[in-house]
Amino acid sequence: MYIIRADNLRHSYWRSASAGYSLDGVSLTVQPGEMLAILGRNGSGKTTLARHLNVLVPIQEGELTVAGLDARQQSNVWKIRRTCGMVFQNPDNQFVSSVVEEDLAFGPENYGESGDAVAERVRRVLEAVGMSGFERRSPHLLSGGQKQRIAIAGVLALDPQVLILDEATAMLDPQGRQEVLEILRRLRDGGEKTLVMITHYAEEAAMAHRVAVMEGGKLLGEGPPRQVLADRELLDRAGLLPPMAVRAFYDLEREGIRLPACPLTMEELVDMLCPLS
Amino acid sequence: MTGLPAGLYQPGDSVLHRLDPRAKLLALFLLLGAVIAADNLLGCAAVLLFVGWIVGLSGLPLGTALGSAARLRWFFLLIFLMNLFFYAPEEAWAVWWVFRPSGKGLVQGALVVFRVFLLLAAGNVLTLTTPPMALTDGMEWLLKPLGRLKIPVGQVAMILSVAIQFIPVLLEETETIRRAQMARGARFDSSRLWEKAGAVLPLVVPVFLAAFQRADELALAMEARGYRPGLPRPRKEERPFRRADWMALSVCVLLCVLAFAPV
Amino acid sequence: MSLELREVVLTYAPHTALECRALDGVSLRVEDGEFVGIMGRTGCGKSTLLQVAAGLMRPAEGTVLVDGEDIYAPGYRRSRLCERMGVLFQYPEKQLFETTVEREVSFALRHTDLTMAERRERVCRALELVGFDYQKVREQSPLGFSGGEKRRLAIAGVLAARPGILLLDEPIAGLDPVGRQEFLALTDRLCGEGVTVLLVSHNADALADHARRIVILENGVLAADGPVEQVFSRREELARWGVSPGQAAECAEQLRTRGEEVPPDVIRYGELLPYLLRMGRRRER
Repeated sequence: MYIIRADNLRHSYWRSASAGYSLDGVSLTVQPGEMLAILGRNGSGKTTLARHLNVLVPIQEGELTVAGLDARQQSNVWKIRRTCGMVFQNPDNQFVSSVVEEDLAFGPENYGESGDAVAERVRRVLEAVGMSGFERRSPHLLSGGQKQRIAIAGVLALDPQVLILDEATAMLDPQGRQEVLEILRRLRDGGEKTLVMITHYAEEAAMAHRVAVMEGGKLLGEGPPRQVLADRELLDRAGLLPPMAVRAFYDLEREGIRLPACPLTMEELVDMLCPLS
Repeated sequence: MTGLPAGLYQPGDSVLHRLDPRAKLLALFLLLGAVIAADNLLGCAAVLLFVGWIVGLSGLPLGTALGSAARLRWFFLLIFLMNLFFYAPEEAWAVWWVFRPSGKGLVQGALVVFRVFLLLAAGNVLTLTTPPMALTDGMEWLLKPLGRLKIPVGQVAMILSVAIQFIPVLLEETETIRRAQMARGARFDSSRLWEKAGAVLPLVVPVFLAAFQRADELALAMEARGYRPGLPRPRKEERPFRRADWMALSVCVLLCVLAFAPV
Repeated sequence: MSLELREVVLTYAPHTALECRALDGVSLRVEDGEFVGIMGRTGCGKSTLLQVAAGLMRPAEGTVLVDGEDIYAPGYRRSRLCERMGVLFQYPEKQLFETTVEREVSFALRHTDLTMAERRERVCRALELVGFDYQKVREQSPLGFSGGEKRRLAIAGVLAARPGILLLDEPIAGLDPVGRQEFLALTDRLCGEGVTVLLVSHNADALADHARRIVILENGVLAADGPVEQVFSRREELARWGVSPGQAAECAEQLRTRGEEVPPDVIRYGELLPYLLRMGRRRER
């Protein structure tokens, strides 16, 4: 049973084939509880794909099923948006209120919930992103990393099965990025949410269960990170760079030194080269 | 960022913070009436005292409460001078080119500045002590009668509330773009009027584009969180006005009567 | 072209409860043709420093000298500064507004005495530097380009004035890896031609590879200033300033904690590799 199943999705913002497709025949499946990274450079079509998963753009060609719901049916759109939460790139453009707790309640209220149940949920999601105590603060005055954590909480407040992150770390400083990645790591290990992470950092994709590489609106390849991120030829075709650890793996290999597996992070590389005894 | 954005809600626990947003909005309208009507010394003193009193009650620092009103000092000076020189030309003390300062103009100018300043300060206190979504719900409730005229009241209230919040962000963005264009040789600070006018386009076009892009992204983010324009959001438990709310309204009604009453 | 800041103090919202010292007595001298990286946590005053240096925010105290001339002195003409100094703000693609690429890129040249032919020559060259074909794009609308292309156009708009100093505020944020490499290669090339470069970035790996000198700000104070290798080897202080010295340096540190002998000035991948090879060979045996 797949939670997301896309079949031959095709999309053009200009609605004409001559202008080119931003999605050009993408087929993809995601399993419940899985963390999928969609890796691609700017303009590869990864954001368009992400917006399809939440039906923020209409399905032009192909099929898309989310949690058993056909996305082409207008009546399913709101149920799908409840199932799939989405966090956007710019932390400043996602808040509807200048008070954190009001902003977090926005989603549930749109689905007709109110009162104590919402308050309890707000408390829980704030705790989940490590921001308890920020209820009365203004999101606009928080750091970039904190803003994105609130944005994630705002989406979690709807208790979606799937969480889509559209380059959610691209505009953050290194510290903010670490904060957000830490939340994602926790959600991944919790196993309750399906995570779809859109990124152009191969280092970030390494934390996913599976990586799909996009370029020119097409899926160039997919598989476990250790296979995809070690495929230099594939990454090169997608205009991406392998993680530094992968680069080291091949540089060692050229010198005749063969490691047991290709490391994805520098920590793994260090563990392989000088294991703790 | 050049300081905190003006008018954004400041969490607190004052009497004003605890008042019902609907009562506060109604009170502001009553105050509006009172301030406009006040044209004698007694009326003016009463509204001035009242606004001073609510600023005190809000527990906010004076600078914050009067922030946005104080920022308009050049505007105030302009309307004051306009009134001084042009309000009652037939009673002018002196004539210098088109300028005709008069005693009536002086009083009128002072009165206009006084009224606008008080209203801005009162409005500022309202947004500073009321969370935006609560204000949205309050506005929606007040506008409800308009719903019968097929006006999408809920959407109007939501647009107003979100727009208020985006003002500081857009102001900051405008400042950044202004500096960026200055670095490219745009002459905003030129003393020549025609150069200044010519420099407007490089500022206005990018600011509009940025505003549209932000609005577009925000709309997407709101839709993704299930916002459906036109569908009613759940009513917060419509609790009746409490004693404090009635008292606030009574005081404002009293103020109105006082201001309208001929001396 | 050289740039010097002397004891610069800048305060936001002075005399209010929100008063905040963005720059607190910063002195910095950058020589002709240097490539300086500026780092520090968000809000430490990096962007403010660039804007003060660019003549866009008058400091409360202190002076800024460009080629020995005080740019905030009463008689100094701003228009001359625009020709000498190129400033790239964060997300510069936002500043585009003209109807054609040609007009956009030549915006900074409007008030110069250049002839039409000279202007066209400069625009053409600037577009080439960022990888556009002048004839192909000159009549197109800048607003129709993609995000990454718009940024390149904005860069061309800055380069068209042939500035002697480039002030770059997070120019690679949000770019994909190839875009980042292209931009840094361009900056290197300009620096090689004698342009002085000040680049603000959080990307320590990029700065280690391209900058020769690093300046670190903390709470508006100059916390460190020196050659890359020297600054990036002060590990404990870096952590306090909220600066990570980059992946290669982090890896070297991990190896040290496991008893390997890796000198502290190993901060780039190229310098790290020989040590990795040495350990790899030992592991083989």
